Amino acid sequence: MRKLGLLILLVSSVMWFAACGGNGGGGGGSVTGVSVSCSPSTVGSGGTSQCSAVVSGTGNFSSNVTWSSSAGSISSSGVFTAPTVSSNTTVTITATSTQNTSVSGTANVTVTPSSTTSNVAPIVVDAGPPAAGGTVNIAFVSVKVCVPGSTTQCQTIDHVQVDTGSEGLRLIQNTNNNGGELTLNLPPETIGGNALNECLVFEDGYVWGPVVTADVTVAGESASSVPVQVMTPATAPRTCSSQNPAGGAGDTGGSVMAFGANGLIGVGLFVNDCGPYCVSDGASCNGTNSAPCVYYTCSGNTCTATNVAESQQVPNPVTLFATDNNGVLINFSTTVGDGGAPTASGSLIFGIGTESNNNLNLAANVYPVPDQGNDAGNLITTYSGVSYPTSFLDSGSNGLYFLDHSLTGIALCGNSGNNADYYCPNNPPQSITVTNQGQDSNGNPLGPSAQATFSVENALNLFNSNNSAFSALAGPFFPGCGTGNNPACAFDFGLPFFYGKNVFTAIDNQPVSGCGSGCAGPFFAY
Amino acid sequence: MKSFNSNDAAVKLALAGALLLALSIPAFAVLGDNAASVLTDQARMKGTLHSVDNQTYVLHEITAPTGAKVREYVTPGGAVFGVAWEGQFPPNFEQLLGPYYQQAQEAIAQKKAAQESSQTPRRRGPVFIDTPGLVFAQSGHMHSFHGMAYVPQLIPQGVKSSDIH
Repeated sequence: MRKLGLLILLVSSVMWFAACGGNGGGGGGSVTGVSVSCSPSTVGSGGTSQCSAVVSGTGNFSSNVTWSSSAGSISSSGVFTAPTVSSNTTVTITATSTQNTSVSGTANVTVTPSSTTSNVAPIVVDAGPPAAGGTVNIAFVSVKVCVPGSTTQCQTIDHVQVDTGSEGLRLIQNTNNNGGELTLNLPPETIGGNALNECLVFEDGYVWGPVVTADVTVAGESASSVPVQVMTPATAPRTCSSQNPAGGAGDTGGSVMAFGANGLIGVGLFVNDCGPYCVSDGASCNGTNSAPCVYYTCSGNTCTATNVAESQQVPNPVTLFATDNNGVLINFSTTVGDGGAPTASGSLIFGIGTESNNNLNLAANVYPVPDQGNDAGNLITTYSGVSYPTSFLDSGSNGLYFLDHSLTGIALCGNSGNNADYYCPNNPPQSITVTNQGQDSNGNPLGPSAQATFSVENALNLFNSNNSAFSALAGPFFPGCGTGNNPACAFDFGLPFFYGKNVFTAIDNQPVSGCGSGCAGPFFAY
Repeated sequence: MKSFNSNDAAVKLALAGALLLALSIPAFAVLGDNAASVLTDQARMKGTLHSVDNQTYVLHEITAPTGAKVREYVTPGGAVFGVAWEGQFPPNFEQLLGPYYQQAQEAIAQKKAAQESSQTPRRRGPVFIDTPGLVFAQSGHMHSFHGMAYVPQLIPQGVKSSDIH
């Protein structure tokens, strides 16, 4: 029934346009009114609606109109393409008589966030899952996992952190009252009959647990039999725990409280979490200084480092989607004020230049980054005439971490303990302007350079506000990095940098349209 | 500034001599250890060694076949006072920090306890500890890590902590 009704509407619309074609002379008559209607009147972000205008008048008047919209875009034939929005937004469609531009008519179209668009997953920044005890500046989406091939053995996990600084889906197993949501029994990946386990080291801690396979669905995008890490509190081998950085959080994957989320979806610049190293050198790591152990096969409690083919490594799940698989766009269309907000909402949009809602022209510049070498994924950030080539964008960092007090002149919140982790400027908000540019794998600047400006607020005041989204939360990179232009110092542009922006993360070696011939990841664009 | 490679016979002899003297020292110590551990590390990393004498200290840079680098900063007296690293993964800190690994673990525990009692949200970003006996910092993301650690008391006169990177 529904389909039939739509068909009739479209046919009548076409007939109307055809009928008015011969009516365009306009000699002698006058236009008295324009009425507009759009169907459907509610569309999802990036969706389309057909609008039509009825022009009334006297004598031999013209029925031609020009179309405009208060947001999104509209074609000359009245096809409206909705913008990407994070909350319901009313867009006004206007048809103006070409014969008499003072006569026009309007109609409203309601644009909804995501649900009707398959490549858009809503992002929320809130206080996190209850078991986390309150988080700040973590971007969450929901992810559905199913036992491969099953449509009934499925679970939707909420509050999965969106991380452009890593690759792979990792979920916390519910065990020992650790707050984990995942209870689904997903089949383990095995090598030689033994369960594959992984030690994954992040900037500030590590996680440990088995690699399983699952059918993964986010928004309308799906992939089958995806290797996924299940994070558990089980004791990791010493060759894993010994990579925990001093000052880090240790084994963070053991509980929701420690991790701050029910899981993490790494949608970063690369295809797999390890890559060629784990294919050829994974078994010979021996926990040496530069050859860490990543994947292990475990028989009982005995785990042995192993080589793993790329196809069995934990991948950036985006690469396995049937469509929209060359990267992601993180869109926070609304800004967060310097004082923060209780929550922030945005969109995780899959694909770059693959749909009407992820065109690369939503970004001002493309910043290419090295696909290999010790600065893989890093930008050159210049501040006060000094370049810091190990800087990076990372939605998984919860603040803007950069330089130190002696370079920025911004006071720390304290000299010791956790107060030394954050900036508390004397006269907040303090504005910081930097220049970002891409680089090649030899460290030479590459592509356009452009200024970026952000604010720094008093972190302790922010924390006292009970807000969860902070655009001006910042801290030092590490104390003492300011002396002598230490090249170990840099900028970590965390989630606050993403607010109010469209930030693209393009995956290594995946072609992208809209940035020239042969253009491919890895790059950031915003 | 004098630059030399590990196949320099005299250097090798000197380092080997130090290695002999160091046999009673646990083989997997680096920070705070003597220069002999540089060769141990080079062997373990299957890496190439490049050494530069800056007068006030000697910098030994070991490059692994993967491209990952570990730099070890040695006093004229032969003590490793600082280390720095970069690569796809963080290094094994138990080996690299040697006798200071335990100190680092204790600092982690203290920082964690302080964070839990302060109600301040955990910083999720570059990590550091800044204690009188050990300074440590690391940053990065999957596929690129950078960091350094040093023992303030061991830094020779005329050397800045920012030289360790």
